[in-house]
Amino acid sequence: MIKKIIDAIDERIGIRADIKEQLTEYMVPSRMNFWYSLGAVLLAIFTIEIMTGILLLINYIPSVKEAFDSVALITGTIPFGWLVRRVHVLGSYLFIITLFLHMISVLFMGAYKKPREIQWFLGCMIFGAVMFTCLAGYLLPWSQLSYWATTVGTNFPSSIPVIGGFMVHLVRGGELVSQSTLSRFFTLHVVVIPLLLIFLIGAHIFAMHRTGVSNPPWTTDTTKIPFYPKFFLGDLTIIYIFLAILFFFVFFFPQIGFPPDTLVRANPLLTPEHIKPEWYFLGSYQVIKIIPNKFLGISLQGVIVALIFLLPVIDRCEERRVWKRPIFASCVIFAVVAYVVLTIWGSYS
Amino acid sequence: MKKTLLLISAMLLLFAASGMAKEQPYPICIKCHVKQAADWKQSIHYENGTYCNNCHGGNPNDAATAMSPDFGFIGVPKKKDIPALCGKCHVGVEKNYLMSVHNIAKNENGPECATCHTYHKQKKANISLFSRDLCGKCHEYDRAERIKNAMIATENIVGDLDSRIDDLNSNGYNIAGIKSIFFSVRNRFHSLTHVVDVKLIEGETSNIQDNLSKVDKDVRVLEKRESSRKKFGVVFIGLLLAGALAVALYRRVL
Ligand code: HEC
Ligand code: HEC
Ligand code: HEC
Ligand code: HEC
Ligand code: HEC
Repeated sequence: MIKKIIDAIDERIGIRADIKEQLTEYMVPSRMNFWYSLGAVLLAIFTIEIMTGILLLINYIPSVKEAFDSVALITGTIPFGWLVRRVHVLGSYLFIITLFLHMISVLFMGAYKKPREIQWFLGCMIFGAVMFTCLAGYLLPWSQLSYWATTVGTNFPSSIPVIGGFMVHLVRGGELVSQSTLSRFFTLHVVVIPLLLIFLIGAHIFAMHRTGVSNPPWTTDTTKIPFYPKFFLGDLTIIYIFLAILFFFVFFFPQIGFPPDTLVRANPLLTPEHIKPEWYFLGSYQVIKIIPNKFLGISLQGVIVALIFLLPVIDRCEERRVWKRPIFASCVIFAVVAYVVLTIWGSYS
Repeated sequence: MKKTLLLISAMLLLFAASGMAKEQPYPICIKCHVKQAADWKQSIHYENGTYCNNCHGGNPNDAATAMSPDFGFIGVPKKKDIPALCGKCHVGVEKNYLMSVHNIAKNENGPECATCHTYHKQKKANISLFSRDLCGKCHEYDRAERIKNAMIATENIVGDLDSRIDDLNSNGYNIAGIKSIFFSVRNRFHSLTHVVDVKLIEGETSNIQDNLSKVDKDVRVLEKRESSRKKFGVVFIGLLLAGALAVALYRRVL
């Protein structure tokens, strides 16, 4: 019966051939390993974020008066609401960690080089969009932490001369974080950025299909084999393992996603003792704290972001094997270590 | 009547706490009074935003008028005025203290609030304050010990519930309702201390324990829920790992 329906569809618009060509028999390098599965993991987590997001949306109310209670309703009363919320929050953490790993592996394998510059640019944009959607999502529960972390987070641009004040005003929709901020962030978080992300991810995968997957730099063996079943199953295994890690934290250490200040309703008059942005912004926050001039701190980070984004244009040598590029490798290692150290420093200071 | 008074006192305290905890720069007083400031910084008042001027009056923002009576500066409060001073915020406690034989207005050898709580280093109060050092200073310790014994069982229940509620809180449960009932029962219990009347304490104890066991029931419901979630989690994670293993094995034999 089902086969008949599919046959009928196939006869008219020929989907089987496309699936075969684009998916199951799409040729990929035979020596791919774990690092090549991270893209699939990201796709899986993204799908989970979208699905849990939609479920949360059913009961969430984006108003400063009701947001906190609606979230309490979700976690306290709606069946499995607690689970959906924990998965959504901790899933976003895993999303960012996996994005980091994916980017670092691309750096070490030199996979951003010609002809894959476009994937790199798109990937960087995806990263930026994800960070921004996390920032926006952070405000929605309207807890003490939401409110004050957003106050700190949206204050970043204020030190830019001339337009800084205007930018803060624009982002917040007023002088302070308020209903206008919540409405904006809500719209961005549930509509604008997800749509943008779907587009960017689509383009990223499309570009990857056009250029083909990069051959692992550690081998000269360039034979290619179909994606299905070997790599399909490989990806699936890794996805299961990542999900197991996610659910381990969801069930046993949900606190890491919900520090005490997330359990208190936002109070604009009461500044909590330690206001900090989300952990993935801590590194950046710390740089701004240790550089005496705020504008300098922000510009420095702007330059670093630009350098990372334009990497394929700056680094044009064709050598992809990392052990032949000691300077580049040390730069990447230094950057990763610096980021980790700054993040830890930021969380303890 | 008593209950309403206690309720009102609790509300006043909350009101005072929320009003004062507004962002306020450190009082200027600490620039000159370094020793007192060091003590005060270890106190629960510091943590909750009760500043020098909330007790001594004065202007916390300006050195010139800091200790001016125009800003309500009262200097060092006299011993007999201290209960009223602390009672501004701790209404229920003051009321019970005034009922007690310790009341300094009735008995000038009695202790005032700061005798037992220190005047700058007030800590979160608990039963460990009933010590031979403190309570044996003015009279034999055994009468203090009888009070301590009457309270200790309840105190243990309170401490246990407190940490269990904290655990639930950190696991993301919404415990606002439980917490507010628990706090009011706990405050009622603790304020009994100040009456220093063994009979009264023993009489009230059963009532308070009843209320605590209601809180305990609510906490238990959530704890049960948490433990069944964890069991579900173990099974679920087990299934995911089994899935990973099955797929990996299947890939091998392919
Ligand atoms: C410019 C420094 C300075 C500042 C600011 C200051 N004080 Fe004082 N204060 C002093 C000195 C000096 C004395 C001792 C004077 C004396 O013994 O008569 C004193 C004495 C006192 C006394 C004891 C008074 C007595 O009768 O013995 C109190 C209580 C006091 N200060 C509280 C405060 C408070 C509360 C503030 C802030 C609202 C404050 N002070 C701000 C310098 C300062
Ligand atoms: C909770 C109320 C309270 C707070 C807050 C408080 N004090 Fe006091 N303070 C008292 C009381 C009560 C006494 C009187 C103690 C006694 O019986 O001698 C006192 C005494 C003093 C004295 C004179 C005795 C001494 O220590 O030498 C000074 C000076 C003083 N306080 C300064 C300060 C300063 C400065 C601050 C803020 C850092 C402060 N106080 C905060 C209640 C308070
Ligand atoms: C301006 C208001 C105010 C005054 C005056 C004040 N307190 Fe407090 N006190 C507070 C607040 C707020 C808290 C913290 C909230 C709480 O735990 O109840 C607190 C907490 C305490 C605690 C710990 C309570 C607990 O839960 O274990 C003690 C003990 C205490 N105060 C003693 C005193 C003494 C003694 C004085 C007088 C010298 C005094 N207070 C004066 C506001 C005040
Ligand atoms: C004889 C010593 C003594 C005196 C005097 C005394 N207290 Fe206490 N107070 C205690 C002890 C002991 C506890 C702890 C009670 C417990 O854990 O059950 C306590 C607890 C407290 C608490 C926390 C419990 C609650 O109800 O929130 C506050 C606040 C407090 N006292 C304020 C005061 C004030 C204000 C005065 C003066 C009116 C005062 N105390 C006088 C011994 C004393
Ligand atoms: C500053 C001295 C002083 C301190 C400290 C003190 N008391 Fe007392 N206490 C008195 C006085 C004075 C009386 C009344 C006269 C008497 O009975 O000796 C009294 C009476 C009592 C009584 C008898 C009440 C009655 O109805 O017979 C009890 C019980 C008591 N105190 C308990 C305590 C406890 C518990 C502590 C420690 C937390 C304590 N006291 C600390 C001075 C003190």
